[in-house]
Amino acid sequence: MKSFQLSRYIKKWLPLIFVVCLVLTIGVYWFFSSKQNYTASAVIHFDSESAQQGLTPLGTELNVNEIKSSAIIAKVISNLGLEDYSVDSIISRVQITEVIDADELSRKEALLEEGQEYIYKPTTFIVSFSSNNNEGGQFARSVLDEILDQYFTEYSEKYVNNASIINAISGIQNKNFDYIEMMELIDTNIENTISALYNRVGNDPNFRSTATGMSFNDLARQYEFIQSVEVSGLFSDILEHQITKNKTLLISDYNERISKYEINSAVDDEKIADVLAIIDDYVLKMRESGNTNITYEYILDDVYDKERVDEQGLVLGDGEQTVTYDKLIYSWRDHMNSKEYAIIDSAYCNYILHIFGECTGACTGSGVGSIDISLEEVDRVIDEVVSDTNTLGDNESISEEPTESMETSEETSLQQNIVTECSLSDLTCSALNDPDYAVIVSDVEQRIASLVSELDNLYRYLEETDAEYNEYLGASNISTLSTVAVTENVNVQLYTVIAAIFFLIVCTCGAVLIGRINDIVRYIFYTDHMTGLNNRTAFDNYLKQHDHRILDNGIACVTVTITNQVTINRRNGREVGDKVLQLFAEQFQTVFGKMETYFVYNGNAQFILVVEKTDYATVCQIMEHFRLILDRREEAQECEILYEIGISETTQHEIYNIRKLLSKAVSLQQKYVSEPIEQEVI
Amino acid sequence: MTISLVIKLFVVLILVILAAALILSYVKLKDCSLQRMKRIVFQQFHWTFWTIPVTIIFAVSFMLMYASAAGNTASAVITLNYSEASSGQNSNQTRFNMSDIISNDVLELAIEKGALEGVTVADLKKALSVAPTVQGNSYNPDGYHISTEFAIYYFATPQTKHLDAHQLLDLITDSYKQFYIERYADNFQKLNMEFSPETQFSEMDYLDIVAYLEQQCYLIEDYMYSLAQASPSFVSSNGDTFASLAEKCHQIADVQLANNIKSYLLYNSISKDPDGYISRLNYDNSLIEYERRKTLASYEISNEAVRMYSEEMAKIVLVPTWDADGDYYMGRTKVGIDELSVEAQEYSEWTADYTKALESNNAIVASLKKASSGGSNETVDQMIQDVCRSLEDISKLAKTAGQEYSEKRMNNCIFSSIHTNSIFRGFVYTFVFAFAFFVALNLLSVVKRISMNIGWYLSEKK
Repeated sequence: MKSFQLSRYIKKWLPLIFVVCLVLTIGVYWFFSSKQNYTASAVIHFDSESAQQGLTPLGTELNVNEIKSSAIIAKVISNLGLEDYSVDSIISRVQITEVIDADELSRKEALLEEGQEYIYKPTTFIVSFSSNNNEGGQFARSVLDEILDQYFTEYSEKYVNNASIINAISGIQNKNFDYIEMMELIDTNIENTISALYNRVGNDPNFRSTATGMSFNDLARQYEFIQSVEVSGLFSDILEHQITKNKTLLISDYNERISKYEINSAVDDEKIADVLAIIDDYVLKMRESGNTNITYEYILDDVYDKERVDEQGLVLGDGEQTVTYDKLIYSWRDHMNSKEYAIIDSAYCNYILHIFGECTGACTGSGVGSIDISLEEVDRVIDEVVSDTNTLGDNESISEEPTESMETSEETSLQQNIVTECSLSDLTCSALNDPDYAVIVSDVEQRIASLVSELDNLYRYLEETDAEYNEYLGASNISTLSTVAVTENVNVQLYTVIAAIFFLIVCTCGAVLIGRINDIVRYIFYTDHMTGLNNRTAFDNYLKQHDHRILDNGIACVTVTITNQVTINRRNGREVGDKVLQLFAEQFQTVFGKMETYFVYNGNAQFILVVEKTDYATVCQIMEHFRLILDRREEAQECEILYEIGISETTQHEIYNIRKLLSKAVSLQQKYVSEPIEQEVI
Repeated sequence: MTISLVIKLFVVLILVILAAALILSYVKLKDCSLQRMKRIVFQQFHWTFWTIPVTIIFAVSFMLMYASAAGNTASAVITLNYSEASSGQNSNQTRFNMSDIISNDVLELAIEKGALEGVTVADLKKALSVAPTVQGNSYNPDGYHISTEFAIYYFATPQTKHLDAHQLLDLITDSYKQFYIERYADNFQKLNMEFSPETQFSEMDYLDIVAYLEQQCYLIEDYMYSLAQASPSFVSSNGDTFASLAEKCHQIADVQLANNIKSYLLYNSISKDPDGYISRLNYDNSLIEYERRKTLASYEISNEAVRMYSEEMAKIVLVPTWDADGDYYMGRTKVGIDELSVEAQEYSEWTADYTKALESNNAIVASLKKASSGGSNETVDQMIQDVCRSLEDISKLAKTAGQEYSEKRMNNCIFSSIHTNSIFRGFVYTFVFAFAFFVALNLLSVVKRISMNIGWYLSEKK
């Protein structure tokens, strides 16, 4: 069997190894490329002090998972036009990972080593979003960017800039409100808006929107101007000219309000009495228990932090510092305020009732006058209401029979106006007697419509400014530590190189293994063990393989037959006979050297050699050389060797079929004799 | 197909030919020594004729593909120059979103500006991508990076093939600059003040006009003060500082409007509609009075609460603690009367404010009651016109100063540069590749020739 030569096997299969490796590597590259996915990630940090305690600026628990809330993702889908994606499919691809710095990790380890509880509220997070190969890295980047944009705004709206501003008066003129009610709603809305705007001014006095060019101060001043000029102008016209859509409805509405205020006032009275009783009892008990025996010289022994802290020293906040007694006093104060406000609001309603029920003088023939809405009239009405309330309060009759006062009020009103025409009518005095009433009503309606439209426009400015403010607050409260970066999850190049090396090793090993197996098989089944050359079976296969091929030029067939092999065996013994055969085999391999030669021992002392890429003369010369070597052999010198050599070559004999070439060589065999070599006698 | 892909393709082709030649030569001449192998190769190396037309075909193919790819790809870099960019913010301190660079608004603007035909925003989006030129590593704190330079890549698609890549990127970068300035740069639109008193104020009473002009004064004044806070030392080309402009506005509001016109109106009882104005003020007063009564009631209630606070419960305890500077001091326990007293004082102030408002309105009412009749007043009209002109002038100065400051601060905010593939570079590539291909091809040819005559070489070896 051939010796194990690594290079021989590799050399034999090198082109194939190269091609297979190349094809497989390309396949691996294609496979990994098709499986590639991308992750866009960014690092955000919550800057507010409360975040370190795991809280939002409002004091609620900070929940970073809101970044992937369906509300935010739905907005992202809408803004990016990703209607083909479901909210859940996007949510499932968002990952939020907390970042704990090295110092904090050391603290954690130290506390855990000491067996203490470790609580940490991270403020830095990595937010990532993954996309597949078809979607690409750009998709991941845009989606994550949009998610962060929406979250920053949402965070600001929810936890920082949460004083909402609403426009509840849009289209109010087309609804079934009376004029005075419309104006009250408009006024309240403006009042709330101004209050919310000044709240924002207080937080960020220098904020100015780049979209509208306005600050909240500018907007507040515009609302104030509208309120002081247009709203009060409309109010005064409505009151002065008693403008109403339905006087009866208006009067019943305001009477109902008065009734509610009176009930609330009576309820507050009861609560006040209860709170006062509790206060007295509380002080009494505190006195009896000795808790009030503290002098100004009393000083606590320890030094205390101003803030409340937990066991680890983390600040928990200011905490509730109000004592029970203070709470009771505040409760008394609140109920008293509520009661007093109810009385004043009730007075306002009476003032409206008075204005719309009053006769201008036209009904009694004293000419068309105007309604008195002066300050003196207000004072008179308030004093009247306060005096009535106090009287009723003293008699403790409000809470028991709240409707009685209303009836009394209506009766008084009727008694005062019974003689006038307007008091019996469903219309106000101005509506009955003022010839310009219709024109004035129409003018008021137009002005209300124009005011609402103006407020709508202003609200749009406000909305735009506020939207930008939310974005600004979002970026102020959450900072970006690292811009959105997109990475490939599969390192295709690295894996391809690894695969190429792997395939090279596997293919090489395979080639060696196959080569070696081939050696073994050939040795067992296709090698003549005595000569080490291919045997007859191998040669039959060879002939079969080349049967239908047209041979190239330069292929030679050499047949060598030892004609006296039987005689040698008989005279010199079988061992010498075998030696002769082995000598022939060895010499053939020597003389043909590295030429592409197929050596066969066909049995019966016959050798066949098929030499490729050669010519007739070369083979003849080589065989001549063989004969010379044989004649000077060092083994089997004692025996005479008779042999025949036949040489045929494709070009020389114009035969291009292997079997014919073989036959030709056999037919051209010439006899040769190699004489025994006499050994010198020493 | 991109240029890099074309280049890669042709490099691979050359490498394959070279590899084939080398492998073939190795297989055929594996038994020769290296020296002999060299000798054989150099002996046989002479240019083969057929390689010349093949190389020409190769060069032409490469040039065509390169030219096609060069027309289909381009890139641009957008650099953010303002200070907030390093915090990942826009110049108005909102979050910077790089996707804005190729947002629908920007692409629509680009299509409109370039009058591009046969292409939609969606088509352009498919052909464009944006990425930071240097991107950080989110998973390593040392690798955190806020990008301020972003590259736009354009790869033509069948829908955008007819567009010129260079021109398209030029349009997109221009559109983004415009979009950015409109959305994120300082907006001085509100300082465009132009008044036409005859028509604009015809329906308004004089005192309302004064209030309106005061409001405009405060608008400019506020704007200028906010800019003065940001840059107190900035001086415009007109020689104004923001503070000086704000002061000028204040003077108009204080001297020209409040002192001159308003005083003149009240002193001379001038109003376009005195009765209407009095009626309005009366209504205002009635509302103010209700509010004043409420604050007065709250004031009295808070006072009453302080009075009824039990002496025994008002005793305090001294608490040793430290202040914000870390110095020890004696704190004391807080009791309800502290808060109630503060509250009472606040209510008292509000009540005083309401009383003041009432008095002011009453003074106006008293003045207007003396008015003989309504209508316009030429002197007042002239005074208002003068104030309007002053305001218009100062608003122009304010706008100029603001714009100059904004430009300086933002350092032109965005800088863009476009990278395209030059024809010269294409020629260089073609020449280099053609030469390499020619050599590889000839090498292959030599090896083939050697392999055909291997018998001869081997016999020569012997």
